[in-house]
Amino acid sequence: MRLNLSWVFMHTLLILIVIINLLTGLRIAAVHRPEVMLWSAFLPQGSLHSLHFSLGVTLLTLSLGYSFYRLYAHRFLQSPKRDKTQTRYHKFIILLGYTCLCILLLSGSLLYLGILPTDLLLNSHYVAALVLLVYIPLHAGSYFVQYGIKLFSTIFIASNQARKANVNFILCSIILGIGLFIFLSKTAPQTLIAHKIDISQYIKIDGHANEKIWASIKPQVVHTFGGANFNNGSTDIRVKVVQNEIEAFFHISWDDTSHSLSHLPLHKTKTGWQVLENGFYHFDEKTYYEDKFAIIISNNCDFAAANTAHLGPKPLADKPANWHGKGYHYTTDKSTTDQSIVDLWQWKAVRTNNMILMDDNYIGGPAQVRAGKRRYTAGYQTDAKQSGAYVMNWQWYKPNGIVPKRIPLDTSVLQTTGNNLQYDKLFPVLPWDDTKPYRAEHDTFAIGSTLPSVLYRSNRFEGDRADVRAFARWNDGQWSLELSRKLVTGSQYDISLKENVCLWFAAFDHSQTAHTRHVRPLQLKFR
Amino acid sequence: MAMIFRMIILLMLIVSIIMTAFNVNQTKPTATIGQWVKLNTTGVPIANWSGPWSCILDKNTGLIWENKDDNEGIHDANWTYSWSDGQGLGIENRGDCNFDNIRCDSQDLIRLARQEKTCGLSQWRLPTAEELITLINNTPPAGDPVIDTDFFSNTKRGAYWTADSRQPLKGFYRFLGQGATTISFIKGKKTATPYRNAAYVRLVTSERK
Repeated sequence: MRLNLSWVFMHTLLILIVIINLLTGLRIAAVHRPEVMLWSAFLPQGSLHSLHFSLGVTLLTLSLGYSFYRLYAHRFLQSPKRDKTQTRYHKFIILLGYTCLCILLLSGSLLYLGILPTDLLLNSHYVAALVLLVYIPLHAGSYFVQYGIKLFSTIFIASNQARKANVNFILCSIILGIGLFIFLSKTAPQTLIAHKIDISQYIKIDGHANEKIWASIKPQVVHTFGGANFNNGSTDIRVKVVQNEIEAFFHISWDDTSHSLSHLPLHKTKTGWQVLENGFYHFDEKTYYEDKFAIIISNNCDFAAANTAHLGPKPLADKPANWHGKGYHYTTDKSTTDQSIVDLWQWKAVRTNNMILMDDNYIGGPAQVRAGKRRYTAGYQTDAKQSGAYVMNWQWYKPNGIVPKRIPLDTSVLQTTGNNLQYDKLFPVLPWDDTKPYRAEHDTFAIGSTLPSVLYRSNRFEGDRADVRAFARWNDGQWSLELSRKLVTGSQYDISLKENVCLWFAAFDHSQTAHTRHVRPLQLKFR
Repeated sequence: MAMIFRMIILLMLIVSIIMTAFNVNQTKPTATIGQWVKLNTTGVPIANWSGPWSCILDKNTGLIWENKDDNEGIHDANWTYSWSDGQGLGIENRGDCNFDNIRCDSQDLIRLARQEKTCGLSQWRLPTAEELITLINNTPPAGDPVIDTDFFSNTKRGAYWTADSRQPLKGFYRFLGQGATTISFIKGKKTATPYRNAAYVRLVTSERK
C-alpha cells in the first residue's frame, strides 16, 4: 500500500524532528539532570538550543498542518484507508505518541514564552520526552516486527494520487512555517525598560533599595529554572533598571530560602585539614558554596546566552573536555571587538560582596590551552585588574587534604566559628593582614575547627575588573541586589549599556556552576 | 517465525544501545605535556596539575627556575631587592623583604637559596637577560604578567633583575652612570635600571639534578 505524498512528507519530517529534538533536548536537560549524563555518549554536543527551538517551531507547524490534513485530507488529498494496519494496539500507541507531542509542544511553547512559573512545565516537558523515547520502539519497533523491511517502502515512498493537491498542501505548510519563524524571531526578546532619572538623583549601592524611585517602578519578572538547590530548581528574578545617561542602576531580587555564605570551608579532622566539598573537585560544587548571581549582556540576542552555551563534555574537538560534562561558554567569533565579546558580571556573596563589587568578566572565543591549568574555561575569562584579589586559603587544593595558607592572628575567630557552619557565626573572609602564614608546628587547633577559605589580599579589585559596583542583602528568603555600572566604560571587554542590548539573568543557590536560566533574553529599551 | 526473528533483532538493538551507554567512558580532561616541569622542594618532578612546587625545569633550555610563593619566606614574590654582586658592584640593601633584619639585595636571596639548597640545588644565581626573556609568554590572559602563571605562580607585573650589569643608564637616570638590566613582565620590556632601585628577583640555575 502506498500513502499519499503529504502523509509521507509529514511523517518523515516528524521522524527527523522527534529524533533530533529528543537528542538535543536530552543534552540540554543533562545540564541540570545528572541522570541524563548516563546517555551522554549518544547525545550531540555544541550549540544546540537554536536547533532545538527551530525544530520545535517546525513541529508546531507540522501539528497545525496535520490537523488540517486530518480534517480535510479525504476531500482532496486522496488519503487511503489504513484500518488494516492499525490494530487496537497501534491505535493506543499512536494516541500515546500524540499525547506526548501535544504535551511537549504546549510545555515547550510556555517555557519559551516564559510567562508562567517553570517547574511544572519543565518536568512535564522532560517526562513527555522520556515517554516519547519509549514510544519509538513501541510504535516503529512493533511495525518493524509485524511487517519487516517492506515497511520502509510504505512509509517513505509516496503514491502518485492527487499529486498537485499534495504538493500545494506541502508548500502551504512550508509558508506557514516560515511565517511562524519570522513572527517568533521578531518577538523573541522580552522588553526591559531602563527608566530615565535625573543625574542628581542619588542611589546608594547598599542592597536596601530604599530610594523612592525603586518603589515607583514595576519589576520585570523573569521565571528561571534548571538551577541546583532552589525549590524545584526554579526561582523568580525581579529586575528594575534606571539610568541617568552616565550610569545604569539595577535593583534585582530573587527568591532563595537559604542564605549561603559557607564557601568551601576548611575543616580540621583527625587526619589533617580538609576542604568541605561536594563536587568541587569536578568544578561543580553544590553544597559548600556561596550564593551567586550572574548577568550576561550582549549585542547579540541569540538564544542560549547570545549563543555562547556550547553543551557536552567536549564541544570543541581541539580543546580539553570539561570536568562536569555540561559544556562551555564561548563565542564563535575569535576577535574581541564589541560585537563579538559577551559581557558577564558575577556577584558572589562571599568573595565580591564584601568588596562591594560584581566580578566583571567576559565571554570571548575559546582561550588557548595551558598545560598547567587543570580547569579549561574556554571563553569564560576575567577582565584585567590592576591590583587587588581574593585568594583561596590553601597552599594547593587536593581532594584528600590540604595545608592552609594562613591562619588568623586572632584565633578567637576560630572559637566563634568552631565546628559550626551557621552563616551568622561564620567569618566569611579573612583579610590578609589579619592573618599569618600557617606553620604545622604551631597548629594547635582542635579537631572540628573550621577556617574560612577566602583571603582578601586587598579591599577590592582595581581596574577593568572592578567596573560594576554591587551589594546585596539577604532577608526573609530573598536576596536584594543593587548594582551600577557606567553605560560606556571604554573597555574592550565590556559591552555598552544601550538601546537594544540583550540581557540574561542567572541565580546560583550555593552552587558553583549549576545556575538557573531562562529562554528569551530581555532587550533593554530606554524610556 | 519471521516475526520472532525480527523481534530478536529489535531487542538486541535496544539492549546493545543500553549496554553501550553504560560501558562508554565519559570523556574526562587529561593533562598535556609542555615546556615546563614542576619540581618539588627536593627537586623531584611532579605532575603538571600537582602542587605545591618550588622550582620549574625548562625542558627547552635545561635551566631550572625558582618558583615564587606568598608564605613570607625567602621565596615570597612580594619581596624586592636592589642589585648587588656582593663584591662591591651595585648597591646593597635597598629592597624590601622580611627575612632580613636590614633591607635586601639580590645577593641576600642568592645566598639564602644556596644555603637552603632549594630543590636540592646550590648554584642559584641571577639569570642573564637572554635567559630571563625565554620566560616571556606574549599571550597571557587579560591583565596577567607575560609569563605562564600556572607554572611561574605569583609573578608580579613588574621589573625583574638580570645578571647583566654595567649597563649605561639613559634619560633621567643618566647621572647615576651604570645599572643592571631588568625585564618587565608587564610587556616584556628590557631596561637598564639603577642598581639602587627595588625590583623583583627570580633565580635560576644551570645545574643538573
